[in-house]
This record gives sequence, C-alpha cells and structure tokens, in this order.
Amino acid sequence: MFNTKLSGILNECLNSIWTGESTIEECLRMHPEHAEQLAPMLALAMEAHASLAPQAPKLSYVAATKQRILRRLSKKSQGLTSKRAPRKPAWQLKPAQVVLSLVLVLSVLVVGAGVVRASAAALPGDALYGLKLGLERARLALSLNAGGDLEILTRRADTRLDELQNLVGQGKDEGVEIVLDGYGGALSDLTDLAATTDPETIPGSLEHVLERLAKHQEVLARVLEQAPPSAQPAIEHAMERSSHSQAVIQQIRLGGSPSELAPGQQRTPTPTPSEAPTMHVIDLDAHHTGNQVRVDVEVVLVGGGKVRGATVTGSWSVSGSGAVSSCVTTGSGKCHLWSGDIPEATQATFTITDISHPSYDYAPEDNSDPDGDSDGTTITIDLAGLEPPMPTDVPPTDTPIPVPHTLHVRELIAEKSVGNANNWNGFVQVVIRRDDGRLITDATVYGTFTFEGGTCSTSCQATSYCKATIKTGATTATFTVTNVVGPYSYAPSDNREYSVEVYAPE
Amino acid sequence: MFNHVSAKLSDAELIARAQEGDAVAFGELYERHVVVIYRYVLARVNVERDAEDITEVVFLRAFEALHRYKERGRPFTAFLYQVARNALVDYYRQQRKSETIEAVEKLPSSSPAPDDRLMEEERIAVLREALAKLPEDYQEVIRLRILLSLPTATVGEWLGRSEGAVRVLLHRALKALRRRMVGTDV
Repeated sequence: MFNTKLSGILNECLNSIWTGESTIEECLRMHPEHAEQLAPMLALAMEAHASLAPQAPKLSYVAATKQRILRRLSKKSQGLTSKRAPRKPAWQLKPAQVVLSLVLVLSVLVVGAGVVRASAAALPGDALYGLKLGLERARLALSLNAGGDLEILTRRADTRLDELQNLVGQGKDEGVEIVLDGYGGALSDLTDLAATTDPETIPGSLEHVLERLAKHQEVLARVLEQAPPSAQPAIEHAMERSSHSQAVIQQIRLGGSPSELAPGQQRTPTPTPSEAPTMHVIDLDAHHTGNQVRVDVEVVLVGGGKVRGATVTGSWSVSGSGAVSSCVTTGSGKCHLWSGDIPEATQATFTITDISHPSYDYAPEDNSDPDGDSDGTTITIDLAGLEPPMPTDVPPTDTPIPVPHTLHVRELIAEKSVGNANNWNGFVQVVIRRDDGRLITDATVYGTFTFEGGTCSTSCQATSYCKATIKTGATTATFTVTNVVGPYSYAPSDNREYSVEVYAPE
Repeated sequence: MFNHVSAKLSDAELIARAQEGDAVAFGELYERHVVVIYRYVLARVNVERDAEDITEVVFLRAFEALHRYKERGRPFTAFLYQVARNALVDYYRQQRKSETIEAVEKLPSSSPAPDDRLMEEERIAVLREALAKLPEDYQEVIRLRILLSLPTATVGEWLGRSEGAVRVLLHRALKALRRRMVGTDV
C-alpha cells in the first residue's frame, strides 16, 4: 500500500515552499519522522523547478499574437454575423459595471469634486495620477455603446499626449515612457474596437478618430523636437504606432480588413472628395440548392475596394411572387440572398432595388457582371439549367465561413557571409509558416538587400537562402522581405520579422 | 488593453460572449490564460519559437471549438489544456514528417559556453532526459505541479483526477525521477 500520508505531507511542503511560507529545512523540521524520505524528493523537486521551469512568454509576443488572433476571429465572426451585440441599457449593467459606476460616484463623494478636478492635471508620479486613470477606466465601463467607447478611448489618447507635452515642457523625461505606454494602449484598444465593431453602428466615429490621429502625429512631431534625446526613441515609436493605427482604421473605414496592412505600412493619403464615394455591384451570380435559389452579390467602391457593411435589398419574381430579401456584405464585399422555397416554376428573376451604406452612395448605373449572365442589377435564373453551388459556398445557415489559410514570415536568419570586404556574399534564410504554424517550403520569397552604394532584389525558396553579392565596400546590408508567393495568400501583417542585417566577413 | 469592462467579467461570462462571436471577449480570455498555456507548451517542446506557434494555434482552435465547451464544473483552463494536448500531438506528428527541414532551422550556436555553464547545461540535460523516460502520466504531473507550480486542485481538474490521486501520482513520479537520476529508491 502506498504511503498516502507521506504524499499529503510532500504536497503540503511543496505548497508552503511555492508560497514562500517555509523553506525545505523548516518543512523537514516540522515532519522529522519523514525527513529522511522527504528531503531528497523536495530537493529534486526544487532542482527540477529551478532548471526546467519554462519562462513566461515575451510581452511583445503576447500582444502581437492577440492582435493576430483578434484579426482572424474578426474575419470568422463576419461570416457568422456582421453586427456586434448591442450594448445593454444602464439598468441592465453587469455587476462589475455597477461596481465601477459606484467607484466613480464614490470617488466624487469621498474625495470631493475639487480633488477629482485636480486629478485631471496629474502627471505620472503625482499622488492623484492613479485616481485619474481609475476614473478613466470607470468612464469607459459606463459607456453604453461602441460609439461611446471610441470617443472615450480617443479622449484617453488625447489626454496621454497632453501629459506628454506637459512633461516635455517641464524638461522631464521621467514619466514619458509611462504616458506613451498609455497612449499605445489606447491606440490598441481603439483599433481592437474598430476591428470588431460594425461600422454601421458608429456612423462618423471612425472619421473622427482618424482626424484625431492625424492631430496626434502633428503633436508628436512637435514634441519630438523639444524632447531630451533619451525620450526621443519612445516618441518616434509612438509616432509609428499612431500612423499605423490611422492606416488600420482607415482600412476598416473603407471596408477592408486591418490585416491587409503590415505594421509600419501606411496607406497613401488620398484627397477627400466633396461627395461620398460611390459603390456598385461588380458581380451577381445565382446557384440553386434543393428547392431554393441563392444569389451572390459583390459590392465594391468605385476604386475597387471591397465594401463591408452594405445592405443589399432586392426582390424576387417567381411565379408572380414579389418577395423581398436583403443581406449585409462582409469584409469580402459579398453577401448572399436566398429565395425561400420556390414552387414549380421554370424561371425566377432577382432584381437589386437598393444598396445602402452609411458612408457611400449607391451608383446603380455602374453595376456590372463579368460573367455576362446579368447586368449587375437583375439576374434571370433558369431553374432547369442552373449549376449547383460551389463546394466553398456558404451554407444557408449561420455557420462560420472557414477562413482560408495564410502565410507569414516566421523568422529571418542571417547566415555567416563569405568573401572579402570588397566582394562578399550575404545570406539570409527565410522561414515561412502557415497561420496554424505549419512549416511551408513550397513558397517563393522576394526581397531586397539594401546597402551603402546600392540595392539588390532577389528571390529564393522558403527555408533556403536568399543571397546578395556586395561589391561596394559596404560593411552591412539589410534584407527586407517584399513578397511571398506560395500555396496560400501572404499575410504580411502576421510577419514576426520583416528585415535582418547581414555583415561583411571579418 | 481593451476591454476594461471585459477585464471585470468572469471566465464564464466572457465565454458566453465569445460563444456568440464576440472576439474581444475571447481576446480577454486569451490574455488571462496565455501565460499558463504557453508555459505548459514550452515545457513540452523546449523550443521557444515552436511554443509560440503552438500556443497561437491552441487559442485559435479553442475559439473554433468554443461552441462545444460547457463548464460542468471544469474550468476553462482545463478545456484549453485539452486543446493544447491535441495541438501537441499534431506538432509531434508534423515534426516526424519534417524532421529534415526542421534540422535546417535549428542551427547550432556558434559561441561556446564557459565550463561552469556547460556543467549546468549537462545537469539540466540529464534531468530532462530522466524526466522524458518516465511514464507519460508521471511526466505530466511533474510538469504541471513542479515546473509550472500549479495548485493540486488545478492539476486535478486538468488531468481529470481527484486531488488525492494527484498527490499520490506526484509522490510516485518524484520517486521514479529520483531513481532515474541517481539509481536509488527514496
């Protein structure tokens, strides 16, 4: 029979050692009758823990992975439903929200409105700074809709930059990192929220955020000139984050996916037209399944960008019926309309009667269909001769659309260069993975080596080596991936590394 | 990080939201549990880069399988643990297939370690090897209880055993590990 008493004591000792309540020696003294057996096991447990306990993940990994997961889940949930769940009215707040609202009210009552007002001017290191941040959190918790959240988060970002200006104005660099961390956090929250909110529910809000972000970059550029050198890298980083967030939100506003932009990548600014951009149908197809017909509609902007969140309405004409259907386009610009059960008939007609979107006007005169089986507005369906739907098509139920796999650069490994200082070859191994972690070898990587005196564009197979010959006397070269072509689409925003330095041989 | 409201919700409340497709709620669940799952995966694969990839896959798969999740007294981490174990099975299967390619990736370090560092690394290698030769359930209880310092109750929930059974299993596992290390019984 196994000594369960000893197992229990061993367990107790481990607990008290993990929590710092006792040491191995103290534990052995408490159980002298078992000390001889316990001692080697506890020592081994401690040694195993000290030697093999895995590290926690890097914070940068945690944050970047969260963004990737949210982007991917956001794509999935667009297939399920394009609308964010409505927020509850105030009287249905969750207990945690009630607690936060009480905190807000009690803060004012207990410390006084004057103190709360005074906290608004607090900077990192001030006694009231914690109260200021707590009140910001409470206000966010009390916001009842996504539009309110966006406004509060934008103001939070504004506030952090006000604090930055004050700190730099006072010649302080202590606290700069704290406020810029807070600024970065507010931007992350803003892009998270924008990526997961149906733009229809927040008309005009994204435009306001974009205006504020443009203003932020002006402020940051101004502060950068005045900031002490020690604070400048953090400010430059904040500028990059700000412009990237601006590009991501602009992408979302135009109906695209935030993942279409790599970190650091920015959309070229386009002049704002005096009228709202127009959208139209670029493809209209029909399929039958069972005794129903499904029409697929794809809506794009005049420049070709996919339109998400457009409500397409149309009417069916089957044996004299005039049923009306509507659907909302996803990030791909597509949505599907179902006829319902069709009685015995040889022909059905579907006509798009309207497409609406909070930011774009519908231009039916631009509707088209490359297949030629419709004019982009009306499609006539021969019920006897229709093709069944493609296997990849969406089923009529609310099941999530499978998201296609993507590729990204997992790692860039600079290999030892060969040659001499004036004629050397630099090598970079490029590791490509699929979004589920699978190693990909049948992809071609395109990249550029940039060095003093020139550039060299090259390509190589994934996991093999991209190479450049450098004869300019340059001592270093930077390899940057420009594209990856493989069995799945390339998602540069998922890249773990973008560039790597190679060095001339010694 | 977004969302400060989500941060105050329980796992069960976040799961309910995530099951309705709320990615932000799932993001909060991710933040809460990524560290323990990552550490568990790293304890299994010993390669940081692979642990990062596998952990990401775990959370994506967990979201996909979330509609099947019902609490029934088991915490969400036990569900994630199960998803992680399945992902690890796939990882090892794939490792076997792409052994030659992976070998290219793992290039040896060019800088030799000092003597004391070498001795320490040797001792760690012996310990790791001894652990790897134990029966799977012994390895697992040592990983969870000793390497990750998880409470006995949590280990019990993850492994589907009572706390008493976990205590006994750990005792046996440590005895077996010691036998492997020094060739003597405790």
